[in-house]
Amino acid sequence: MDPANTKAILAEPSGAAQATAKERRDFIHWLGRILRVREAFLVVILLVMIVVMSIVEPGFRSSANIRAVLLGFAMEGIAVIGMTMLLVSGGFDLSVGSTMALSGMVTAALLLKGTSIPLAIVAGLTTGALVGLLNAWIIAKIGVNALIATLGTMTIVRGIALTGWQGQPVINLPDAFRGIGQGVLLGILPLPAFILIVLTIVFDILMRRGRWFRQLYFVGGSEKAARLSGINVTHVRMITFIAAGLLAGVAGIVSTSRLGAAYPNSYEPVALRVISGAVIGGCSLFGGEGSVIGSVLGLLFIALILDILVLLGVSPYAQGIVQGVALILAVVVDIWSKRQAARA
Amino acid sequence: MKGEMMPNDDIMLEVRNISKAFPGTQALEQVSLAVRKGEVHAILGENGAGKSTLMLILAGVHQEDSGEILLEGNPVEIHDPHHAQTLGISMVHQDLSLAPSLSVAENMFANRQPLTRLGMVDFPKLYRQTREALAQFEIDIDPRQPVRELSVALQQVVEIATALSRKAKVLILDEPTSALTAHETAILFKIIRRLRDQGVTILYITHKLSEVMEIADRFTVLRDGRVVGTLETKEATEDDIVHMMVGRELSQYFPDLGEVTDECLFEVRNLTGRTFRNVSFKLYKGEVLGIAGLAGAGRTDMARAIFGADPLLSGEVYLNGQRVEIRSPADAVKLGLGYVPEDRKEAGLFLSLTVRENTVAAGLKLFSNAIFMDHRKMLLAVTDIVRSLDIKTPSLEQQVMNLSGGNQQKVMLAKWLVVNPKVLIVDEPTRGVDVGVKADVHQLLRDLATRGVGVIMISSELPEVLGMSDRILVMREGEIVGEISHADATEENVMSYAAGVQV
Repeated sequence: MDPANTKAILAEPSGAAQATAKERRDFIHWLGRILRVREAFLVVILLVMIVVMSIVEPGFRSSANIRAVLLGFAMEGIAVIGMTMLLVSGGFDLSVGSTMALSGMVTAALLLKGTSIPLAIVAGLTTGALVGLLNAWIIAKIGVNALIATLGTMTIVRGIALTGWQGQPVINLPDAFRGIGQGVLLGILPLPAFILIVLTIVFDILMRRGRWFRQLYFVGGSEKAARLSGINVTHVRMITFIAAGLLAGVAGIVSTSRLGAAYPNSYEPVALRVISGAVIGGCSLFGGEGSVIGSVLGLLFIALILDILVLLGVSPYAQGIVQGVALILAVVVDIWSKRQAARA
Repeated sequence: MKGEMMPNDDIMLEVRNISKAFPGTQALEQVSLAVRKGEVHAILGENGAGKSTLMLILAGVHQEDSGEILLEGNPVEIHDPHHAQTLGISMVHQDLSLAPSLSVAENMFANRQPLTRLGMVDFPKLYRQTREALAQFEIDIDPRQPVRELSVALQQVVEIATALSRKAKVLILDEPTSALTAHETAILFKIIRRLRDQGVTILYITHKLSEVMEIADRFTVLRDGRVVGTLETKEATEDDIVHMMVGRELSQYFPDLGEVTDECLFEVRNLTGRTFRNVSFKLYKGEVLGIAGLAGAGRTDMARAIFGADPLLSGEVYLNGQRVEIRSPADAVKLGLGYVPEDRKEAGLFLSLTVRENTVAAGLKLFSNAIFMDHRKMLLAVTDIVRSLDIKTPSLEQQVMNLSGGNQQKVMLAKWLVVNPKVLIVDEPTRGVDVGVKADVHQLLRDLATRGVGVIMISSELPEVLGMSDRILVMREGEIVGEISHADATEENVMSYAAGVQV
C-alpha cells in the first residue's frame, strides 16, 4: 500500500470524529438559541405533551377530545390576539369576557327577532367595538390606569348583559347561524379553529411587519419616547382598544354560534386565562414585548394542560392550582433566561 | 516586607490588584489605587474604561473577582451596598435613585427614620433632622416637599446630603454636575471643599476636565480596565489628561464655524407657556443657535412646547416663512422638526428595543409602504447611519440599554438624521458622554448646519455653547435676556446674562 494513502486513511477517522463533535456542539448551540425564542420553546413543549399523552392516554387522541380542546381554545384564541396587541402597547383588558358575553347576547337577541344573520353579526361586532371605544376613551383620553378602568368596565358590561335580558339566556338560535360555530372543515377542523388560524397568521404578520402595528412596540417600550418620536400615542392606544373590543366581539359571536345560545353570565374566567396565556407566550405586562403566535401557543399550552388534567381524572377544583403554577413558572423562567442572556 | 504591610496613616482607602470580568469583557485588570484621607481624588477615563465598575465594587454593588480592598489599612470585603454604607462608603449614583412621590425627608432617612415610643415615624423630628442635614448646603428645600417637585439639581443635593447623613468617610460622586448649571456647580464645589477640609475622602468620577483642574487634588486615569497613572493635579495640564485618557492626541478645539446665510428658516414670535414668556427668535439656515441659561430658566420647557410636547399658551411659529400650527410632536415631525431630549433613558430611547428599532422610530413611514415595513430599506439606512456615526454596537439587533452612554446618545441623533429634519433641537447633546463622543457629536451638529439644517442647541456647558454656537441666546426666568454673537461671546458675559448680574 502506498504510505501516503495509508496516512490518509488513518487520518480520516479522527478528522471525521472531530467534525461530528463540532457538529454536535454547533447543534447544541443552535438548539439553545432556538429554544430561547419563546415561540419555538413552546412548540417543543407542546409537541412533547401531545406525543406523551397520545401514548399514555388513548382518550387524548380521540377525535372527540381533539375537537373539544380546539373549540374551547379557538374562542379564547381569538380574544388573545386582541390582548396581545394591548399588552405589547402597554395596555391591559379585564373586560374581554364581559365583552364576549354582551356581543353574543346582542347578536342572539337580534337573530331571535328575525334580523338577518349578517346584520345581527355586524351589530354584535359593533357592540364589541363600542366597549373597546369606551375603554379607549377612559384610558387613552382621560388617563385612567388600564387595570382600574377595565376592572370597572368588566362589571359594567357584565351588568348590561344581565339587566338587558333579566339574566336569562337567549336560546334556540337559527340553524344557519349555528353553522358558523358548528361547521367542520376537511372532516376534522372545526370552523372556529380555522377562523383562529387565519386571524393568528394575519395578525402575527401585521405585528411583525406592519408599519402601523410596529408603533405598538414603541408605545409599549417607552410612551414618552414614542410621543417625542412623533408617534400619536393617544391615537394608537385608542385604536388598539377598539380592535381588541372588536376581536372580543368576534370571539363572543363565534362562541354563541357554536353553543346555539348566548348566556349573559358566561366567559367569566376568559380574561385571566387569556392574559395568562399571553404572558406564558412571551408578552410583558410592562409592554414592548410579545407576539401573536407566542400568545396563541401560550393559550394552547393552558388549554392542553387543563384537558390533560381532566383526562387524568384530576379534580376540576385543582385545575386553577396548575394553571396558576404554570403562569408563575413561565414568568420565572423568563426572568432566569433574561439574566442568562444579560450575562452572555 | 514588613514595612509594606504596615498601615499607612495617610491612606483612607486602598485597592490592590483588583480584577473583575463580565462575560465578554475584562472590566478591570489588576487595578491598584490608593486614596488619601481628606483628598478629592478624580477618577477619569472614557466610557467603558472601568471607572464605574471600580466605584460600584467599592460601593458594594459588584464584587471583585480577585484582589483586595483596604479601608484605613484593614482588609475588608464589601458584600452589598448597605454593608458599604455601614463601613462608611457612600455613593451618589448618576441616575438619581430617589422615590419621586415621597418627601425629601423620607427619601433622606428611608429605613432609618426616627421613631416615636409607639414605633411610629416621628415626623417632627424627621423634618428637623432633614433641615439640619440640608443646612450646610445653603439651599432652601422644604423637607415635606415631594422629591418630584424638585429640579434635578436639587435632587442631586438631596442625594449628597443623604450620603453625608450616613456619616460617610468615603463619598463617591458619579458625574455629580452633569445635570447642574455653573452656579449650582460652584455651590457643589464649595460643599465638596468643605467636606474635604472636614476629612471626608471624595472619589469624583467626571468627564469634565475643567472640573478636575478646579476641584481634584489628585486624579487617576483608567483606560481599558487598567490604571494608566495617578498624578497630582497641579503637576498636570488638561492636555496631559486627555492624552492619558484616549492614548492619543485629541483636538480640544470645536469644529470651525460654517457660513450662516441670511435666509430665515424658522421663527418663533411671542411664545408663552407655563414657565416661559414672550420668547421670540429667528433661526437662519446653516446656523447653530446656542441657548444658554441656568437650570430652571425655561429652556427645556420652551423647546418641548415648540416641538408640541407641551402646550403653548400663545405665540406664533413660522417655518420657511409659513405660519405653522404644532399641537403635538407628531405635527412637528411631519413638518420636519426633530427634538433630542436631555433625558436619554426616559424620553429619548426605547431601552428595551434594538438599535435598529430605535433608529427608525421617527421614520416608520420612510421605511414602509402603505402597510408593511420594508426591511431591506430599513437595514440599509440603519447600517449606513450606524457606520457613519461610528456607533459601537455588536449588532443592529442589540438592545440599546446595553450600549454605553455615548453610543446611546448617537443612536438618539441617528433617529433624527435618518428622517432629514429641517430643524433639529438638541437638549444637552453631550451630557455624560466621554471626550471622544463629545467631539463626534460636535462635528456632527456642525455638519448638519453646513448641510442647511437649522440647529438649536440647549446646553449648560459654557465651553460648548461658546465653541459651537454661531449665535447665543441667554434665557433667565423664562425670558430671553440676551443675544450674543459668536465673536462677542465670553464665559463672563453669558454668565452675567444668565445669572442676572452686572459684570
